[in-house]
Amino acid sequence: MRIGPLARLALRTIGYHWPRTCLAAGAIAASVATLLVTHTVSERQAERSSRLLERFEARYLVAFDSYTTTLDAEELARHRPQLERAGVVRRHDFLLAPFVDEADPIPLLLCGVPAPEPDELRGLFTLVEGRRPRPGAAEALVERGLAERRRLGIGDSIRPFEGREPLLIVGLFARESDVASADVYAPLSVVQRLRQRPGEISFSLLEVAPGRRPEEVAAATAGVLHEMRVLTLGAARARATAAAAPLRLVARSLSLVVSVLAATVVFLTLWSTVSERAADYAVLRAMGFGPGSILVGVLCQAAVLGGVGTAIGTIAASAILRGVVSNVHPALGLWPDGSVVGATVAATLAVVVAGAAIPALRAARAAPTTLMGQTM
Amino acid sequence: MTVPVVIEARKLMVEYARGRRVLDGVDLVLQRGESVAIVGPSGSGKSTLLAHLAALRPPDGGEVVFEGRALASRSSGELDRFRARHVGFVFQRAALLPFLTVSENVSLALECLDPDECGDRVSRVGALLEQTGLADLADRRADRLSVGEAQRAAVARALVKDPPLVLADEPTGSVDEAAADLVVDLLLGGRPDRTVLIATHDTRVSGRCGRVLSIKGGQLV
Repeated sequence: MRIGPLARLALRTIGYHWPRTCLAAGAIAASVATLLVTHTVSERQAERSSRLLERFEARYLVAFDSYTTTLDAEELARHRPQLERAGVVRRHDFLLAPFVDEADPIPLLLCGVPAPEPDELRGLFTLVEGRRPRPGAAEALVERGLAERRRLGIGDSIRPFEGREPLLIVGLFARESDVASADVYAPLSVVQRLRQRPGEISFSLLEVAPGRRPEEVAAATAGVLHEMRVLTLGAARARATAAAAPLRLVARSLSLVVSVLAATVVFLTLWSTVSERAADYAVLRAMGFGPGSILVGVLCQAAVLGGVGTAIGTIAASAILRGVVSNVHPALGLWPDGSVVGATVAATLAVVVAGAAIPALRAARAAPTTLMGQTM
Repeated sequence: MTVPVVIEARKLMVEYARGRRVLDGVDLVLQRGESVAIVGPSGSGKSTLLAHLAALRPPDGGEVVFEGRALASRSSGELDRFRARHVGFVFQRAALLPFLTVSENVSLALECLDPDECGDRVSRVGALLEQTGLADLADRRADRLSVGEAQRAAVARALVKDPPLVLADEPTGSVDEAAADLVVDLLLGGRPDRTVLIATHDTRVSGRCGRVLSIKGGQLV
């Protein structure tokens, strides 16, 4: 038996039962949309942070006070000779300053970048227009999406902190979608000046001597900077991953619940259809359709439901990410990852097959004498 | 000249619940080209006999032999192919798939055949619909047909693959006289070498068949 006629029969069957078809496709769509959105919100952010740290893992240690407090660069400067003896050849201080623009009430991140900046930093974004800020000048690079939302261009200015000097926009950059990055970059000294705290930094990347690995110098460096935290970037990455675990667990649990609900709805939909259509399956068996053909026919119905539901769910997820999530969290990106969509389609197929298996087996076992019962 | 035997039931025995024998050692020989009516009261085993001749279920005893080979010796797939190629079955109720059109219901019977076995499907279906007077209703959905129209479509579905054996279970039981005449015309008016077995209560139908058998208490009398 060829698959074409079975697929056509499946299409006509689910078209005939369109209300329950809509219900099942809607359940699958909800499942797909939940999987895509929760993954993007929970997992992608953790993955992007992890990839950011990964970039600096080979050559740097990170020194910081805590995740929420800043420290004075002078504290590090005082230990310079001991740090050099421990194997640290250079410091790259950064200051992260969240700010809320009154015209766009979404928390944004301003990053004070040292001069010279680490080579690895250049890989985080691509300058698409203009130039980089000059050291010490009140100039900034602005993320292209933010500039578009705010209708900003080169030559315009942005004022991160009310009542303080503005930053002249001299360049626009594009994010790399798989790596976390700030929304605005400016020279470190300028950001410190805006914050009115000279010497304030969020963390320092400690560059280890050529030929040495960060793990080798971590202990000695931590001994020197015993009043602050010193981690390899690998350890920092592990901590970030662990910190995101509860959110991931919630997201995965939610996805699991929705998937089970979708499988249940598919099961109930196909079960009721198969129950109502028992006489049809008996006719098909009497005409020479084998049990395998009937089983494939019901699975075709499930596949159509899965295909329609997945398409609607993907579109819905994209709309949610574009219309809601991207406004709340601009850095996350607007579209689900292709690999995530692929994995979601595979998971949905598994869900649909799981839901369709028992009804399909029941249909395949339909006795061809069912229709003759009243007269036998 | 000996007329070949198409299908034969030998000592066919079927038991239902509590050991009640619905068929009790039925012997039946159907030759090529003959039309046979089986008459008998409700519950006498007419439909059961048809179901076993079509290999819709295995008997509890005896055997059915089609063109010299016992059906019991065939695999499940071979029995499916047997029904697809050699048997046209008409149920008492039309049993059309309600979400398909008339022409789709009729052509569905050809889907189990290889493409080279059924030739030009469209012309075969069209010809059958012309014969059954359903050409104008070809695109009408089956659940919008009258009972008589539906039964004619069911006959067209049984005949479209041009089977050598047609089994009809009370094909006129739910239609009026005029429609019944047309249904019987269709069943008996095809190729001359076709064997037709009709289970019926209707003496007008049995009267048009070449042979009439009576079944009572699970036995041909």
